Amino acid sequence: MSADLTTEVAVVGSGVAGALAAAKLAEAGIDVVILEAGPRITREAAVQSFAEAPIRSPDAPYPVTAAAPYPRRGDPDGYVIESGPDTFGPSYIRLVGGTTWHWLGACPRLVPDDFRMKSRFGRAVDWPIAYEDLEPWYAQAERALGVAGDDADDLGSPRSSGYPMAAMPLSYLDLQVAERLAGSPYPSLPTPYARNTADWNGRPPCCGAASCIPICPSGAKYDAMVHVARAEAAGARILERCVVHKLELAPDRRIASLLYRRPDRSDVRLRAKVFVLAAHGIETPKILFMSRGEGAPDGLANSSGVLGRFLMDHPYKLSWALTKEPLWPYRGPIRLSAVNSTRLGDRRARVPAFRSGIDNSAYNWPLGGPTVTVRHLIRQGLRGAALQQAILDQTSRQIGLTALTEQLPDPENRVVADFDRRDALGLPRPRLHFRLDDYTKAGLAEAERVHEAIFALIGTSETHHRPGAMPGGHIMGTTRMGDDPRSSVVDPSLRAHDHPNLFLLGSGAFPTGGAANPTLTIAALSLRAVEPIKTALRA
Amino acid sequence: MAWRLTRREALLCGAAWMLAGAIPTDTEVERFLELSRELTGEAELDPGLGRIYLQALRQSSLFAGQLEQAFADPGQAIPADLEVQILDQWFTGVVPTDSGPAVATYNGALMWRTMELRGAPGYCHGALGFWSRPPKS
Repeated sequence: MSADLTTEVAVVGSGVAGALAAAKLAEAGIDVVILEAGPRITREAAVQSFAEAPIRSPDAPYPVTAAAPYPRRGDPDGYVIESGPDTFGPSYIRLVGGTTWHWLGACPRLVPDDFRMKSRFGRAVDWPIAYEDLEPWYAQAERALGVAGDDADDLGSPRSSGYPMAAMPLSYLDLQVAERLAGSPYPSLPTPYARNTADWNGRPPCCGAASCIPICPSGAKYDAMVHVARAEAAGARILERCVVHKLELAPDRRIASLLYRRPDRSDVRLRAKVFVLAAHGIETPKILFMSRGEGAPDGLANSSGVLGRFLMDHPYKLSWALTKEPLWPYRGPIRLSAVNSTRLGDRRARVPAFRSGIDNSAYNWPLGGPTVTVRHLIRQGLRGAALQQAILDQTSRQIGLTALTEQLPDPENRVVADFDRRDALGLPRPRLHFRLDDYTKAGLAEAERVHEAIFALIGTSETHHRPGAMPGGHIMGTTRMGDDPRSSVVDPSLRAHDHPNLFLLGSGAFPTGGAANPTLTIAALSLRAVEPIKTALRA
Repeated sequence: MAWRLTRREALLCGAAWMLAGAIPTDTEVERFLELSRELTGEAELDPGLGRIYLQALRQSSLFAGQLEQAFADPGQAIPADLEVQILDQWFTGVVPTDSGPAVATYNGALMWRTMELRGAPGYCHGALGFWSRPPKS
């Protein structure tokens, strides 16, 4: 083994959770090392890989290395083992900058009821913090990421300050749909997004490339490379292609050091005063399971036995149809507005919250895009001008609805490290156990009914619903936050109950997932954890 | 305008071209373009792409024979399979190769133009907000 390295704070993972915290700590003069399992890429190379890919899936622009594999679309027997009975379909990439490379950019906040599901609806658990506790950090996160929104819109999440950027112009499709849904039980409202509407900290406004997923060619959409660069500028060191696989315990139950493995399978030890795991909801618990040993037979930070449990997704109900007149989808950002009313109010005692996105990218998600339509029309025998006319007619009238649905935590839904199945570095692969419960299924069925009603208001034909659920790939719940060390992994500052110098950032901390895309809440919790990390460093 | 091939697109085409064997002659390409114009209903087809698409068909075990027959006897109807493949190539920019489908051109695929988009997804298409109006307003 090489000589040991030392730092003050070791941050494992360079995605939004880790990069934000690392940037704040480095800017405060703290010595920070960021360890990233994957390699560094350039935006230009990612765009080119996307253009050259015959099938343009969300991971198409991104390389995968043997040493740091991650789940790839169309590779169900790949790195992550799914034991079922239902498919989780995790979506994350292991690269410098993490999964925000291919996120949508959606930045809705949770609503106050999301923090009190037990006391308000008798479902699951309450968070140990209230919306009001997180609100100032939401405001900071919106400034850090650069969120564009309209202060006049009431999305059910009270705000202490305005959005940092003016709202994104809606697409023609969004505008027409909003007009038709106005006054109904299902009005559509613009969703706040971390996509620039003006020059913002050196990044340009959106240029309508219509590819937020899987790659923004201009950097108008926030990704964690913004804070990776900030961290590096402030002196943080990034060690890429370094797969952390073990935390080593000191006799006082503090973490003394970590081990990372390089592609040549050599191990290096890094000593630090504080350790921050921010490797997302599958890799973070897996590192802790791999760190099992004397005094921690079930893994570190797991005296409660709930590490890796309560795995949640946001399953989606996908619906699609043809509108009567052209609404011209596929122009501009791929999603801009959503029906928000279905995530609010007493109905949640009966069915989960869901938010139905109005998809400006129409058939991209449910069917793989307009290429499917083009091929279908060619095979129907259309030729010449008639073929061109049919392609224009069909693709200009396509519309999609995508209902992000709340799933409640279930201890049997979990990630474990499979010590019998190893990756190229000889490390255990993640195994998932996952089942959708009846409450979630009721929500998906309700979403289908609401989509029928919305389509009726818009005026559509050829309506389709994907049976069951489409995995959202959001990974939540596996390092649960709570006040009670017997039933949770981290405290409200994201510090592990069992280890005073270990912090676990990311959506693993979410006790419940609400019906909001998780990234803004991940960012808010990371920012909120910075002061407690500094305090732990001084201890 | 967006439909002229960018340098990167030209490089992409170059990469596909490198896979090919004997280069089709100008006369052969023109015959292929004539057939393609009729099938696609598109008057302005890029001859460089036509050359790549023709070569891809010639190298395909599925279509090489059909293409040879069609060229040998212009009076004969084109086999339906071949028609579909020619159209698929022009509209999607994807060609068959021995190692599976390959992208000959992305931004230059005909479908984006037919859809009245400003270009393929993944490239900048204009100033903030152009998407608030229908394409020809």
